[in-house]
Amino acid sequence: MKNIFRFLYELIIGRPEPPMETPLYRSEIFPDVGGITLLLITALMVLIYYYVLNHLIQTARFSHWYHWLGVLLVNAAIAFGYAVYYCRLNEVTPDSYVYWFAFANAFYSAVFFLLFSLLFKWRSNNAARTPF
Amino acid sequence: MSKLFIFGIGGTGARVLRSFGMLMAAGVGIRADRVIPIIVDPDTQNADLNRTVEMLKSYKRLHAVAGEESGFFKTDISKLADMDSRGDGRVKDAFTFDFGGINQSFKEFIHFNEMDPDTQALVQLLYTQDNLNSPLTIGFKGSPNVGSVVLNKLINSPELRFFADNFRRGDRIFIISSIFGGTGAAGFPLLLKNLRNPNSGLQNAGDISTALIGAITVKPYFGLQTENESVIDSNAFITKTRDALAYYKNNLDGINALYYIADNPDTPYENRPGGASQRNDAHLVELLAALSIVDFMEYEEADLSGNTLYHEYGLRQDSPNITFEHLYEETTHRIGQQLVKFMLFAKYYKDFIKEDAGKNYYKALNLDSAFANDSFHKELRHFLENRQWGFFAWLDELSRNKRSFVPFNLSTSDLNLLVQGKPVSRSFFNKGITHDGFVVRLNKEEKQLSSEANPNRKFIKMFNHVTEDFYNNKMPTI
Repeated sequence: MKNIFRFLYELIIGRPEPPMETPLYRSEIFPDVGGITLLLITALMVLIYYYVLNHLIQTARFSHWYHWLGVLLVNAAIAFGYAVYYCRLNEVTPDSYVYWFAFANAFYSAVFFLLFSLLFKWRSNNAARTPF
Repeated sequence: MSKLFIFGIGGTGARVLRSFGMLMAAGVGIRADRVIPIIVDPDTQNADLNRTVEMLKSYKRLHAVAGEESGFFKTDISKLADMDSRGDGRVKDAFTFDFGGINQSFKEFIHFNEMDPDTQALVQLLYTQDNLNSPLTIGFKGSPNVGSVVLNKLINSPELRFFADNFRRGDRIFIISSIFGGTGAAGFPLLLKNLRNPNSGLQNAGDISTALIGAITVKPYFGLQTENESVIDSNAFITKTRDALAYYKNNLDGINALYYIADNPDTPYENRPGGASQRNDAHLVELLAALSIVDFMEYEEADLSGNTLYHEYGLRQDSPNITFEHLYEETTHRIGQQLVKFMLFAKYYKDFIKEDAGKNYYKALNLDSAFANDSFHKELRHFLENRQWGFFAWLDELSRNKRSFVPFNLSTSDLNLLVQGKPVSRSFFNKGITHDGFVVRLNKEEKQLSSEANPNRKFIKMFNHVTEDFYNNKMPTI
């Protein structure tokens, strides 16, 4: 799992900087932030969208693609914020890499949100065909 | 497989069949596997007749898609020609009886000029000059003495022979006629007499002569404006009815169940003797008359095998504006649920469904494309919204006629207020029947009906289930 997250993040933002903090990113920040935001929170947000907003609550008001997009953007914002927060928590050098990392995390959260949507949407009562 | 042959004679016959078609569209049950209406009216230009025919044709196309399990449009209403398995075109492919265009006057029809003088004198005693010179293309203009002669042609017609060929033991016959006009008053006893004749020369005459036959005789329920030029005088309706009843008393044999219905005429109709201008608004009496067909089919064979059963219709409460509350439970039980369900469906289809683009069920059924290209949806919209003969036009006519039938609030956009006098109760937690609630239920039904491959049939079934759910769980008891 560590290697997967390392691969994903470094594919977009390159090797962590400054070099002395590379091990910290690779061993702790990438897997922790990726695991919590991309897997846990994103899956939770998808489940909330499809099975709370569009299943348990007896309304079909939130089934349009733009509602789905709204939740995706909220999830991306959480992913961005959590990445920044976690870097600060680990007292890494507050340079631009932190923000590039947060941006990459937000981007991947959107990708994971889409993938989880395709996986979970089918049994939702009101949004089985959202976003398409 | 039992069939029901319905002979709708004259303008009233056609109008009652129009209401009958609407009840069948709503899914009112009838104990027959197949219903074959045959409209008998020489006045082929009659607007009432043509509206009924258009409605029945549309119904038939919708039933072909909806099938027998979809709730709405479930009864198989066929043309006589549909039983022509050989396809040799023995009868016209129509709901109407083919008189072949009687393009002549009554005088010409009976070859008056070729009669010897004594016979001519006798004929002139029996018929007025108006009768003799009257063109038969617009019917018999309220003259049963003319009709009883002309309609004799019916007995030797290909349609009646074809009907007889396809009649099977267990099938039933129902005859709709008015007693105060021309075509119905003449045609009913004539038809009955011939059907009951085991030596009529028709195929299966034995089975037909012993078949269960029911009939409704509609007594006066509307008046006509007095016009000097018109040959029809509605002041004579009561006299004609009394005379005809006296004739029926002594000569009407072999009917198993006979229904009577009448009403006090209120605002008179325009006096149109026939043709394209005879276009009367739908009336409550016609709707209730249509119910007699359903009622007749409810009886077991043993119940009908004794003396003739006579029925008259009564309202629970007299009122110029009839709602479900003014009808007895037997009637509301028979039609209330289905009419309310169909109205909910029709209203939603007309006013709300286009706003559902993007919703789950809408995308699943690809309704954007279906509304634009699918003939089923074009037909359905036609059936519901056609201004001449559609469902809403029918309700509108019923509501503006006197006496009026106003079971629904036609102007409201609030589904909770749709049934007149029966608002759906609401609270902070229960919003009643809402657009959003409809979508949620439709989404759910769409998923539950995943085994239904035909999207149009699925569409009808979905609405049938959803409206039934609303009727049972949201609506106050009707």
